[in-house]
Amino acid sequence: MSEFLQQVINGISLGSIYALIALGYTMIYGILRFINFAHGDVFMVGAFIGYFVAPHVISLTGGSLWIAAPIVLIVTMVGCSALGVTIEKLAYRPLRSRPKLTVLITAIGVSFFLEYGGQLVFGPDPKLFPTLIPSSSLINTQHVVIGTNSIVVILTAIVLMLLLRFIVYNTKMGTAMRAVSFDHRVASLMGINIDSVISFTFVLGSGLAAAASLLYASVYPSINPLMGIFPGLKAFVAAVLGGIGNLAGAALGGLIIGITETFVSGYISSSYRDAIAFAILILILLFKPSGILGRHDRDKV
Amino acid sequence: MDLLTLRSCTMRFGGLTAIADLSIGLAAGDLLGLIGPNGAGKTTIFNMITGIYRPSSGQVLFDGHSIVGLKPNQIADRGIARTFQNIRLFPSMTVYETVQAAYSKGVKYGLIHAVSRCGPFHTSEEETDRAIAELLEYFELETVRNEIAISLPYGQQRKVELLRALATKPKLLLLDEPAAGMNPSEKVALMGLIERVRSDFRVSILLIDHDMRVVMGICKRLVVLDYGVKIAEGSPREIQCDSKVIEAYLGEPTE
Amino acid sequence: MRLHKSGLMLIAAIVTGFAISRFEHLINPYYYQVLIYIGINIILASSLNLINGFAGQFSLGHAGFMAVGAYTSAVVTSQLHFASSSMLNTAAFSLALLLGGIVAAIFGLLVGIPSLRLKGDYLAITTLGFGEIIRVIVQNLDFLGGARGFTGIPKLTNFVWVFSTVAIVILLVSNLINSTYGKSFLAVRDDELAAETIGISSTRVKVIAFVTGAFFAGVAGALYAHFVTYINPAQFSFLKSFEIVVMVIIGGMGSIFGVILSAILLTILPEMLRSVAQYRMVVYSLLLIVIMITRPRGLFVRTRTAKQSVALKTLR
Repeated sequence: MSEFLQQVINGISLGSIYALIALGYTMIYGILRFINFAHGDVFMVGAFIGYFVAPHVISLTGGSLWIAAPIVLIVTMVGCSALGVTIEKLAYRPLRSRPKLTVLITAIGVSFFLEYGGQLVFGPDPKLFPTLIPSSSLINTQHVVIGTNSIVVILTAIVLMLLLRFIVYNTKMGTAMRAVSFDHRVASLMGINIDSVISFTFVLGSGLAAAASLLYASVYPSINPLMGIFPGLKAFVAAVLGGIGNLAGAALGGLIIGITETFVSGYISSSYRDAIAFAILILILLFKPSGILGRHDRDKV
Repeated sequence: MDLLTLRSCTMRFGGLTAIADLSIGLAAGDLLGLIGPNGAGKTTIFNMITGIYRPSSGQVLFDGHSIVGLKPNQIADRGIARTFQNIRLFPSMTVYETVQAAYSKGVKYGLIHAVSRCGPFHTSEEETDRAIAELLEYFELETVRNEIAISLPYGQQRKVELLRALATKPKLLLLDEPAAGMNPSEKVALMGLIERVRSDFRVSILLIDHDMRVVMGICKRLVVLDYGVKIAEGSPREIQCDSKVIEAYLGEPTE
Repeated sequence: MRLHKSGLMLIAAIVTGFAISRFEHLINPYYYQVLIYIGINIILASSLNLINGFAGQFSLGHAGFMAVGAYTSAVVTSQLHFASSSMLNTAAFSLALLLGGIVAAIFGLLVGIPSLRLKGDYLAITTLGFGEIIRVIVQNLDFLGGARGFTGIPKLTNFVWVFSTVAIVILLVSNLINSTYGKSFLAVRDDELAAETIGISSTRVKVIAFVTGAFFAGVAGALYAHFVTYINPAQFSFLKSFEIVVMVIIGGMGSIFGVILSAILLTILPEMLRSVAQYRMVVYSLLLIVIMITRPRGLFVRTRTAKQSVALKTLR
């Protein structure tokens, strides 16, 4: 029973990280209707920004992690947002009216570029991510250990998601985003600047991926240029599972994938960890392609 | 017995009822016109007959058998072919290949013969080639047989689409606004062609148009639709005098 | 007449292969290896072209089929030891190739089923998932060596085997596409709904494309396994699938000749960039992005008419 509880907490913590990445996928898909394959690699770049920035910030703030960590978080989010917007401008914007597959292949190209460019710049070997979250165990019984890590991860994720919800539903830009995701043409007729809405979406999505990367690296401190591939794919599955284009769905999907994955590696075998998300994806697409909270789209004839 | 029967068909999309309790009968050899203002639900009826939509309730009988729930390709196999209001030709294909695609289902050989080119392959391909050549000649398209179909002028594209449908050897042909976008003299020529096709290919035709004058000339019987409901049925002369029809087309009479 | 033509071409290709194989020992072993890889990549890219280019079903799981073929054939030859006689070796290897293809085709059927309901990038990610699931399962099967890999596979693949298979694949695909029967594939790719309304079963077309494509990917995997003599699951990750997809895209989806050219080019290019190995993949990915932006239909394909591109744009 206590091991079960431990798994649940680990699962929720991992799941909230997936949820943050999934939100980026789902927003970009909602607006542009394509899978931004490079999203997982933006996440990877975030971890490296944190890796390089954190030691400086920590020494500047005199070693106080409670002050340093939020600063690192903001710097990383800004860095990744800039990267996301740049990718969209240079690679995706010229292709906006092309067939989806062209954009998909380009996204794969961008993903390769970040991965192998990362290997070139950062070196292919894993690096040890510095401690950003002061580690201590809040609860430590014989079987259950709840560290500050898990709590900080979960709380940060919740705060960011509430913030995103506020932006999307209570600001002018958020309303514009929803309008564009509903219908590009009508939105532009209403005087909405589509380009700036798309850029803004990339800012939000990449920023969340940046936050996720710091949380992820704090839990799994070994980082490398290919680290974004699997969290990226799993987060995409989470977005589809929840119903692509649906914010609450992405959060829910992330949690489900995180918990399932933790349970499979805890009770069956950790070697199946990376396959379980795909198995879930195939099942959901076969039986409820619109996802748990998604709406059903019909092809127009 | 009728070739095609729609028996109290209703089609709902969410809260919207596109077709309400519609019954239509079409006898073999008929040329029935289905008219109504834009948005009356005409294309929805075609989509229901060809299996793209499944009616929310009601029956569709073809040759005495229900075809509700069959897939579009199975319905095509039973002998119903159609054209689309916004022409849907295969963008990568020439005129010849487009017709070939319609024959791909009926060839007398299978995958193994196709890749190995033995068995009945060559005789069957030659037969198909002759049949396509005849059809192209009938439709006066032999000069453009190797042109990419969608690069042709609009009127010829319509012809290619009609030809593609006919090449499946249907018993019933559904034509969705075949005269759309044509000038009056082209319309007259097209109506002549449709009438010839009906008798030469022994095919029954259900024809949609929103312009009453187009169909008046060739259809002996018309069904008028407005907001998904059948408001009138009869000969062109009867329809012309029907007060409900006039109202639907011209709006409510003002005092 | 035409029967003779395609038959003759095949025989000519195989005879040439045999003739060259007589001088196999004279070829520099490194060039020989590159030549074999070119052949295997042509088989992989042409078979994926059938699924992606002709039937229009975007698949990112081709390496999975390749893995199935590689492992199946490795099990077959490791069970049959006939090293004493070359005749029996040939028989055993033929059987291994065939079984590798057949088992891969069965997996192709499984993967083809989701394609009946999914389109575009959803299908892409699902096939990618299938490929990864196959890899993870192999990784967990001890009798296949698990993550350590399968060693001691006899080196049976040579020039003749590879290029006879290349000749067969190219001939089959071009025969199919140029037949009336094959037009149903292009019709489904161009406009699935319009194809259905002229009686073409898109289900059938997609399943045939996946099964045939997977069969040849399996054979390619078997040829690969019996050339490198050691295989492990990591060799068949989705990076390998991407590699094959890129060959098809750069060659031009649906262009038989273009895909062959790009398979050759993309096998040689990385070899030439070996001296600057660390930049290799960066150059490769930049090239991919630039080609997609400037020549999205591939390097070796004539550009479409304006009307065609508009029509395709609205359809996809």
